[in-house]
Amino acid sequence: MKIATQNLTKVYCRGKPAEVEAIRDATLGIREGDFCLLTGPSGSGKTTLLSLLALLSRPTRGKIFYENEEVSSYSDAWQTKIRKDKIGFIFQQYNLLPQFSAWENVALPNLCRQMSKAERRSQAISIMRSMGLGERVEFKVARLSGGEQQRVAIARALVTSPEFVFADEPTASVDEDTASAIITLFKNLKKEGKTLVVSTHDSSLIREATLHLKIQNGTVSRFNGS
Amino acid sequence: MKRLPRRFQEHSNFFEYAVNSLFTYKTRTIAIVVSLTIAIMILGSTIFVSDGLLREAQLSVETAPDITVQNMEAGRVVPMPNAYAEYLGRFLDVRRIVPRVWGYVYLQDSIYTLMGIDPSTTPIAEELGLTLESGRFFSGNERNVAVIGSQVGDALNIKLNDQVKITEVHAVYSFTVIGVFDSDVSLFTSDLILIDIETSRDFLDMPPDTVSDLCIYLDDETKIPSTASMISQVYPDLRVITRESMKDAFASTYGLRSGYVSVLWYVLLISVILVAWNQASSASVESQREVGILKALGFSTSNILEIRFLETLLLGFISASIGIFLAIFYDLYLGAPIIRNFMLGWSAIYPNFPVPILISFGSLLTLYAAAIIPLLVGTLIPAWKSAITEPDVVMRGS
Repeated sequence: MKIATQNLTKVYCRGKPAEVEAIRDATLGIREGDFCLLTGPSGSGKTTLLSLLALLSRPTRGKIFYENEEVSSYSDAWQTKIRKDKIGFIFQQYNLLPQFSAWENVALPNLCRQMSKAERRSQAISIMRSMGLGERVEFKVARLSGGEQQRVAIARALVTSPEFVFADEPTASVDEDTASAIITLFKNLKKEGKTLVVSTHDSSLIREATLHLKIQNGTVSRFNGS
Repeated sequence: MKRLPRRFQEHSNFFEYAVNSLFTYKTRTIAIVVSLTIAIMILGSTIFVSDGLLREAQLSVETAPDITVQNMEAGRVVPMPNAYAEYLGRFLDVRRIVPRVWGYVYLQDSIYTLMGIDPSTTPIAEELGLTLESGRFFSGNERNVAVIGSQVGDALNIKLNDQVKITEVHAVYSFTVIGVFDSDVSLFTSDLILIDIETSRDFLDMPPDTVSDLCIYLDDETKIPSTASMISQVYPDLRVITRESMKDAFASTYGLRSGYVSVLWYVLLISVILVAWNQASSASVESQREVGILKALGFSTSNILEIRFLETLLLGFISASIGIFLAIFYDLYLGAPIIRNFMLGWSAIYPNFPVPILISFGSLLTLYAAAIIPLLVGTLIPAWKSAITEPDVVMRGS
């Protein structure tokens, strides 16, 4: 298994009146090249599970394995290194930095690598062109439409050619054309052999999934169709 | 363009990011630069003046007599009989005793020191370290001549060979300026008008055969403390001032005064730290969110701290540099108003001499450290707190 979990549990506001068990005893396995889809109603815990799997958050209980190595107990520095080397994350709210231009946002993950500005720029522009953003390279992100911002966020997640791509509702806030372009992009990533974990409400993505996980009130179960 | 070695590339990238951040958080940048610049300007101008005065004081003290004695009555300095010169001259190691008659004279809305000496008993100028910028010292029985401080000349618009007139209730005294002191030792000579002892006694209405004080010069400087102690024991009514005690008095006076300003400065500095802290922590959700995003993208805690360190270093360096520049401008070109009066005394009739300034490497280093270190504490701790928190939590702002 490329990514696996064992009794993964995440509790927010632990010990307080507002305590919420967002993920409960999730045990799952994602193989190399899988297109894993997480579906479920709003507030069911999809984003929490993605954050846990992408090492953006630590579990309250349970374990996360990357290539059979238990990474959930790794130090912050090692988890950061894994995020840097292996993970690309597409946030639902894009999480772009408004002070930078579109290409600078895309090139941001390469800032902590030994790459010159020219190299970062050229790599960022190349990926942006492939996503139809060639005309928007120098634009500040605030001047871009929602769909364009989402594509910039996707380009940023892919610029380091990560092994694992996590996407949180990538088609939720974009128009139909952009959604369709994003779906095509994910299909291509699947063909390239990337391991994808995507949370979505979009039924058109279900056909592409090799693994479909359904989340209901924090409980993760494998969806068998129907 | 020449490429940086690979190992520096990452740091160069972070520097670029830090510069960008300064422009991004404009309000924070402006708030910190303005407040820190003002704080550094106040502290800097005080330190420069205080160091300048201390150096001048030390230079003056170097030319001062080994021991100065004054006559005290009921805690006040009163004229002392000149006969003391003979008694004190009997002490071992005493080489020479110089009587002085001095007081203050009011000229053109300012107060000057009028000092009368007897050229026959006074050491030659070079021996005292007092060199003349132009002209000569008076000698023998010369009357109605004066040697003035260069800044007295500037303030009263008097040159060599000009007449300086001093008015007393019953008479007008006129002196020909025959010499001007070198401006190097300005604290001692800046407001000085040196004339013969007889005329000075007459002008200051002092009884015949009395003097203001006696300057004692010893053969061996190492004997100053023991001789001073002996004089005090034999003549308990005399105030005995050694060169060292003068040095201490200057140091404590200017040190204490600059200390008051420093206290005010600390208050200002604390507010700067609070601004920085506030902006870098709870008040700046954007800044925290940015840290979360960077962490999510693979930036390590040390990467983030390096960025914030460079950003703060730049901010502190720019603020300190502007503050120091303004402090120099304030001291040198504006004459350090307010601070000058505070350090020299609030007398409105003090002559308007240029205030001595000393800008040393040590004081510059102190100012840069004072600007940068607290700012680093104010920004790095909140940044570190955000950087060690789970990225998901920081991005959510919870």
